[in-house]
Amino acid sequence: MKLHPPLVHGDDKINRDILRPLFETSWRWWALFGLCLTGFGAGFVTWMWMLGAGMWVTGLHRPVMWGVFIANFVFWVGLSHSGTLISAILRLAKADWRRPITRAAEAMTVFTVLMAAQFPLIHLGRTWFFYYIIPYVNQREMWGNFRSPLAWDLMAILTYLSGSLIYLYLPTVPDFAIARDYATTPVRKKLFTMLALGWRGTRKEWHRMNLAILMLAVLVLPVAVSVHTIVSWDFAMALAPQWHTTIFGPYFVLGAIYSGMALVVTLTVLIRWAFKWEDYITPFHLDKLSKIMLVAAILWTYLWCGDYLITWYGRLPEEKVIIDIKNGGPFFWHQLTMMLANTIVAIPMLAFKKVRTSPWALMFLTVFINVGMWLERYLIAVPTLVQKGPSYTWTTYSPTWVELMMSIYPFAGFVMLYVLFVKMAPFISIWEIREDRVAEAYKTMGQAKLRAIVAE
Amino acid sequence: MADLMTATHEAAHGAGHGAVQGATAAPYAGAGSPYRWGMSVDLDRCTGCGACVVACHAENNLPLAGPIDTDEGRSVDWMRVERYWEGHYPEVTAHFVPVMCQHCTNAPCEPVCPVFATYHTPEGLNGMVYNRCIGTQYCQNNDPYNVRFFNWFEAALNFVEPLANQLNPDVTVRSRGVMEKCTFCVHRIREAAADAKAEERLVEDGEITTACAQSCSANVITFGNLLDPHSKVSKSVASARRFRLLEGLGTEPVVYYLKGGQA
Amino acid sequence: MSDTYVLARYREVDPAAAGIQRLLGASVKPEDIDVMTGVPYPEEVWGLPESKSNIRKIAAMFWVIGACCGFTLAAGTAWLYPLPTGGKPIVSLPTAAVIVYEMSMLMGIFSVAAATLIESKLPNFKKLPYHPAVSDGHVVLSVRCTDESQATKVDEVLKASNADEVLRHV
Repeated sequence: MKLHPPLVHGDDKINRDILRPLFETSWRWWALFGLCLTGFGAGFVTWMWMLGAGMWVTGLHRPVMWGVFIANFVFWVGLSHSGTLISAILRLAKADWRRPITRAAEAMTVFTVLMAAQFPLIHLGRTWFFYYIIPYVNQREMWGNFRSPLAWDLMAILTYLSGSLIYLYLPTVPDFAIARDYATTPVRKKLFTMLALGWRGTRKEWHRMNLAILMLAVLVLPVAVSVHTIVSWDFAMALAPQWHTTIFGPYFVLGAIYSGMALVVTLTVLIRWAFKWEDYITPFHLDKLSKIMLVAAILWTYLWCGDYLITWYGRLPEEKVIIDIKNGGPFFWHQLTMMLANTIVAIPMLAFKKVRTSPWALMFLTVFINVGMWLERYLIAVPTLVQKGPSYTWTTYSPTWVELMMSIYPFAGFVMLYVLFVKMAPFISIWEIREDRVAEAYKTMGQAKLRAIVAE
Repeated sequence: MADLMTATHEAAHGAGHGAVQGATAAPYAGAGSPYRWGMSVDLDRCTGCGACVVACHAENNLPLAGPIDTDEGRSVDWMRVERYWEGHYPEVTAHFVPVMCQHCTNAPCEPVCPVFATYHTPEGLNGMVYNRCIGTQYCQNNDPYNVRFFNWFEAALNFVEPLANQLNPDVTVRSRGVMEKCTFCVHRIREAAADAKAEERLVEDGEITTACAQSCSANVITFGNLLDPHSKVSKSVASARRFRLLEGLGTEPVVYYLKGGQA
Repeated sequence: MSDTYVLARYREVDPAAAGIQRLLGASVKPEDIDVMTGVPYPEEVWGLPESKSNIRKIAAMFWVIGACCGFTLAAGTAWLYPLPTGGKPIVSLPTAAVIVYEMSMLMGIFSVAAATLIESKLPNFKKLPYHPAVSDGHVVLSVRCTDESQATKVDEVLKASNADEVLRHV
């Protein structure tokens, strides 16, 4: 007898719709991939060239030792936050509307962290000795310094990356099994067989899977919070004016959720449009996401104002000079754009349901928000350094084309990995959508037909 | 762990306080050494001539920087003379502050290094291990005095023949991508300490001096052992004119500045 | 002696669950019955003994192991090669706490993933009983039979239970 009898399946609409990008590739995909590969390659070549030439090719100089590279690092770590974090929160809260969005968000986390993790290496003076920071047994009996926030960073980012990767992969296994059953070419069949790990959907497998997803959500959530807190401590542990503040932990985490939500919305709108998944991702979902974004925007503004008012009022001389160059000096336009993007425009716009449910308005708004959030990171890193310490050593900072290229590099790299992922895994969690539909039931109450809950 | 902390505290307290009278010689973990190197800089005597800067460059193989690199803030000057103007033309007074690494007892730059490239030596020096450094540049960010320097350029480009002949053989030429800073001329300290050890005695006062102190014609800079109550530096530091840079930060530098007297 | 598996495919959940009850009624042992589905159903749906799992306990254990590893890493390595920095103690608990936290979480996450795979006997690329219709949301029962006479009996029970298809896997 045959192992796999002649299929009676293959006519399922959800599977067909969501697996389509895995099996069909349009010229647009190749164009986008090519574009990203070019950007990524150009950035990578620039990086390699900088390794050979030296750090003088950047705009960095004493005492501005951290510039655009570190702003990029913080920005990309921040972007990663809304994937795993929001997905974990919504899973734990059993918010069913999360189902079509979580996979794309979790993948976003993994790829943004991968991009962010390169920046600590990019900004090193001797990148080729980066492994000194890793605790490994060596003949000098030397270990890393775990009192350094950078060592915490290493641990936190490694934990977060591993956690996010597992949190992305494990719930995708049942979907890889579907892709395996639908694959027609031998290469894809082999690839998805490997990725599905022999998943059959037995009672025990599902039981463990559900338990594991729950446990992972519980474990990944505090890790996500700790990662950006520790990134903020890179600044807050230093005795530098405007860095040394206790508010940085929660402030960074909220900023991260804010910018990350903005990117989730941007990507959701683009994916919905590109794959014609209007049936799966509806304005209802965009509305929900935007509401979270609105809450993050309000909280972020609250913490920013709290920090600003206290330092402005205190007028400590070291801090006053930094506030002054943001309020009226070389960083005036940065700060104004940031406030426009993140607060003055974003909050009133997001307050309207019309904006929250219209995909293209949201897309432009979220991109603008992320421009603002990038500037926020730049404003945290740079102004403090240009006017820190004895006034004899004060300076200015302007990035060079190298820093520009190294800012294009993660964007191109992220989009490249993301579009590759489109070809590797179902972008909407098929089994979770189907689970929702299985559990779906309606109840009539008077003249209304309402959705009832029958799931656990 | 608690033993480690308290033991070293007592060691430092016991000896340190008697020497620098009234000066807040902070508890220092890792002591037990008979030496605690320190410096006094008498600002009332400084003429701002810059001889110390030149001497430091010559002694410590500092990379050379032209006008463009200096203008871009990429020069390396372990010792600099900060110049501040007071008043309006023509009624102006210049004030000079020679600033080098302050070798803080609670150095903020040390704990932030993830690879122990900078640490505190038992003699109270803020040590810098060049071949351990990976160039995170975090130390400079957390350095309130801005006295740490990054090597932007390849050393070989700096010391082209015949300039290489002027290199001091006792001092490492630092490679590109590492941080560096004033060492209190640690190679001189090591040499004198080795001689003293061979002769089974302690290093005497005046046996070592730093390049900057040696070259100062106005006798602004005094270098020596703060644990020796009779050393010149201990006596100079006992002055009522004593202060330290950014003292409010609690970094406890061992460089004492003297200012405010008639001479 | 090789086992025979009888597979039954159902479009709906209810006949499949009823099929299980018929099998149990025909004195098939519960551990010989397995259900393959495209989505997770609550365990109670099938009326079979509930699955047990040690994932929680394993994760808690490794969480503690991770915390110990973190402390060893942060405090132990500093103590092995004491280098004073910034006037801070060699073994400083506040900074070690950060490493303890991250290591415990890391070990917790790894152990959850590993325990899940090991308990589910994954990865497994052997030819186990399976029907690709599971991917379309169908419910497939698999019954392990030790001999042909039992298989024939199970066949009949399943056919009588409105299965859309009944087949064998050897």
